[in-house]
Formats: sequence, C-alpha cells, structure tokens
Amino acid sequence: MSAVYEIGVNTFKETIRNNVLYIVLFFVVMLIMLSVFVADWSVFARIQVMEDFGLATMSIAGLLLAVFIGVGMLGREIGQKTVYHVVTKPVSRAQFVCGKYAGLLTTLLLTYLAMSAVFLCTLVYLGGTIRLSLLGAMLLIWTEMAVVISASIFFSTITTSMLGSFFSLGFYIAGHLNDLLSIKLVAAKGSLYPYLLKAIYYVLPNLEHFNVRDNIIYGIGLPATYYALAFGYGILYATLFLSLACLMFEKKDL
Amino acid sequence: MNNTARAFPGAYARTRVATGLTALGLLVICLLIFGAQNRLTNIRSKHRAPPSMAFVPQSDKIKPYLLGFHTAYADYLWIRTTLYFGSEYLSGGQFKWLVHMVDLVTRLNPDFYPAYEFAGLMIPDVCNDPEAAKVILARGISSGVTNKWKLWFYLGMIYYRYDDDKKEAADCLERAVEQPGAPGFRLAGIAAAMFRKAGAPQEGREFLEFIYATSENPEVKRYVQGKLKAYELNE
Repeated sequence: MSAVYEIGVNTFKETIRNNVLYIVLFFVVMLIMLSVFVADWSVFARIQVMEDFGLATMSIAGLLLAVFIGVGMLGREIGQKTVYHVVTKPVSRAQFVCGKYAGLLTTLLLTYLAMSAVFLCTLVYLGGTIRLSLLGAMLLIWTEMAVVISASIFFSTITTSMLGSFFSLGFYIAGHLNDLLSIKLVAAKGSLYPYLLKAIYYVLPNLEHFNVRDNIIYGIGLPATYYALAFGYGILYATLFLSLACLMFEKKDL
Repeated sequence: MNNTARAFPGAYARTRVATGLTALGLLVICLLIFGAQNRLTNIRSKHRAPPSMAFVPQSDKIKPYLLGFHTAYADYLWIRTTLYFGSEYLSGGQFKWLVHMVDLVTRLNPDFYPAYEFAGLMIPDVCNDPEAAKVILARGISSGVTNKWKLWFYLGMIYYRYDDDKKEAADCLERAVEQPGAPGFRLAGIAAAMFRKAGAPQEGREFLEFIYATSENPEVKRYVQGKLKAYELNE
C-alpha cells in the first residue's frame, strides 16, 4: 500500500506541474464567467443557464484533462524509460498503475474543486442557491471524470498515446450516446439485432447516468438512492477499467 | 502443466489461485454493474426531465456573436429541436418551444430546407399554430432553398385545411406548379379541383388549359386532357 501511496504522491507532484492543467483550468474559469453574459441570450432564466453551462463545462474539462494528461502518462514513462526505475524495485506493475491513477485522480480532484468553487461563487453572486441536488450533480461529474480517467489509463496500456486519446474521446462520446440505445432497444426487431444492441448497451458504460443537468434545471428531483447508486456504478466501472489496465500492464513487454 | 510449473508447483498453484480470484472478482464487478445499470435506468425513467433549453437563444440577435458560425449553430439547434420534439411527443408534452426553435433555425440559416418541411407538416398540427407555419414557409419561399414547390404545396394545404380558404390554397398550388422540379400534372389536378371547390371553375379550367398548352411532356398532356374532360362533364 505504501508503494501505491509513494507512486501516487510522485504522480501528483508530476501532474500538478503540467501546464495543460492550468490552461484547461483557465479556460474553464473563463467559460464559467462568460456564461453570465450568455445567460442573458437564452430563453431560460439566467440561473438555469448558469447551472447548465457550468456543469457542462466541468464535464468537458474532465474529458480534456483525461485525454491530455491521463493518456500520455504511462506512455511517457515507458517512452522515457523511467518506468524501469520503478518496476526493478519490489513494486508490482499493478501497484504502479494504481499509484498513477491515484495521483492523477488527486490532481484532478483539486482542479475540480477549484472549478467548482468558481462555479458556485458565480452562481451565488447571480442570486442562485446552492442546493443538495446541485452538489449531487457535481459529485456525479467527478465520478464520471474518475471513470473516463480509468478508461484512458486502460487505453494507454494497450495502445499508443495518440490512439489512446482518440479512444478516450470515442469512449466519452459513445458513453453519452449509450442512453439512446435504450430507446432504440424498444423498437429493435430481428433475431440478432436486439441482442447486439443489448450487448453494446451493457458493455459500454452509460455516462448519461452521471448527467443530471436537465433534472437540476427543471427542478425535477432525483432520489438520494439515485446519486448513491450512480456513484457506486462509477466506482465499479473505474475499478473494472483499472483492473483491466493492471492485467494488460502486467503482460506488456516493456 | 509446463516445465516451469513442474519445477515450482507451489508458485504455479498460487498463480492459478490468483488468476481464478481475479476472474471471479471481475465477474462480480460485471454483475454488480449490470444490476446498477438496470436500477439506474428504472429510476431515471420515472424522473425524466425534458431536454434543456438553456442553449436556445431568445432571438436571432445572437447571430453577430456566433462569429460566422451561425449555420453550424443552426445545425446544432436543429438537432436539439428534433430531440425536443421526440421527447415532448413521447411524454405527451405541449411543444412549448417548438415554434420558437424552428423559427430560429430558419432565421439563422434561411437555406435549411428540412426545417421548412417540418414547419409545414408538423407545426400546424402538433402546435396548433398554422399562422406560425405560414410565416416560416413564407421565409422559405423567399429564400434560396431548392424544392420550393413543396413549400408552396404545404402552404396551400394549410390554407385548405386550417383556414378553409380554397381559393388561396388553389393559388398556392398554382405557384407550386410553376416551380422547378414540381410534379406539374399531379399538382395541376389538385389545384383545378380546389378552384372548382372554391367556386372558381373558370380559373381552374384556364389553369389546366395553360398547363396543357405549355407542357412538352406527352404524359402530362394526356393527364391534363383527362382532367379537362372531367371538368367539362362536371360543368
């Protein structure tokens, strides 16, 4: 466990110095500020637009950080051969992957907290209120971030950084479109087609479960069990991807 | 069992146990995910919210701020419109924003044909707002879209069905026939029938005679001739 902690701390120190992090953070803060002006153009009330815009921006920022930082992390270690310094010590490859994930997740948690603080301050400044459901939505966005990062680490163990970035992006898009499959399933006909759709539906994570923006905006409350279940669902998926990443990295010829 | 396994049976057994436990662990995770996914879908279906309208602007005053990407934004808005329509249709909603969204799409991109077709066919019926559909169709007619005959045709049908104005409907169909690509002889028959119903059989006859005289297509001539004969019999 101490090996995971040490690698995690090291990864945190490494990623916190990454300029991409600050560029993305800067743009997110700018976009949240900008949403104050955008809100006036919408058919919706200002607060509703602010909430939607802010949550959407934070979700996309998570994707960008996962793609730009998460995917390249393992590839860089292998490419620069710094991984040899670690794996030649009594540290298993699984511990290495888990440590990397933990470090990155901590960095992104700090970034996310900074984004959230700006978002909530802007919201309160404009007369909005901080509701429990809004905090729940923010927790789910962070859970989604954890899933996307675990997937991007998994992709980085099986392919190059460039392809890993594309796969992560595709994973995010497919995960959000997965919800449409449940609609398609109702009308699917044929002997094989419905089963194929069902298989895709269950194999791909449904990232729309982490998107409760519409419910927040319209004030259609979701039960607390939903938030707990969605959080658990995210943790399970992150564990699955991380386990697969560990297995792949164990077999990888360094 | 390979040579290494024979040489180190204890390590081999431990590896096999570890592999088995890992596989079992992954299987348990997959089953839990399966259960959670179903449960989440069930809860969600009971608390479904309509799609957000936060990105729908109040008016086309936003156009200069789109920095030349207004057609791309119109495309995005069109996707949102169809999603909104689907969601309201499934939930038995009131289509509160539909007219506004279609109107905005056509304002931002006046050459976007599908929006006009949607306005002509759906808005009078589902939103119960034929007047809005007329305004949007008129915009399409004055724009550079192809298939303008269809827009005239839809306009005519709105006059016929919702305003019971057969004369105006026949006039629109007459204009539709004049447009490039229009299936002239079929429309001519409908227009003539409408003129007759509107109490203007002379106009209908003149219209058919005009089509007969100007068409170079023998099939059209034959069809229109049949319609003219029927006209004479009715008179």
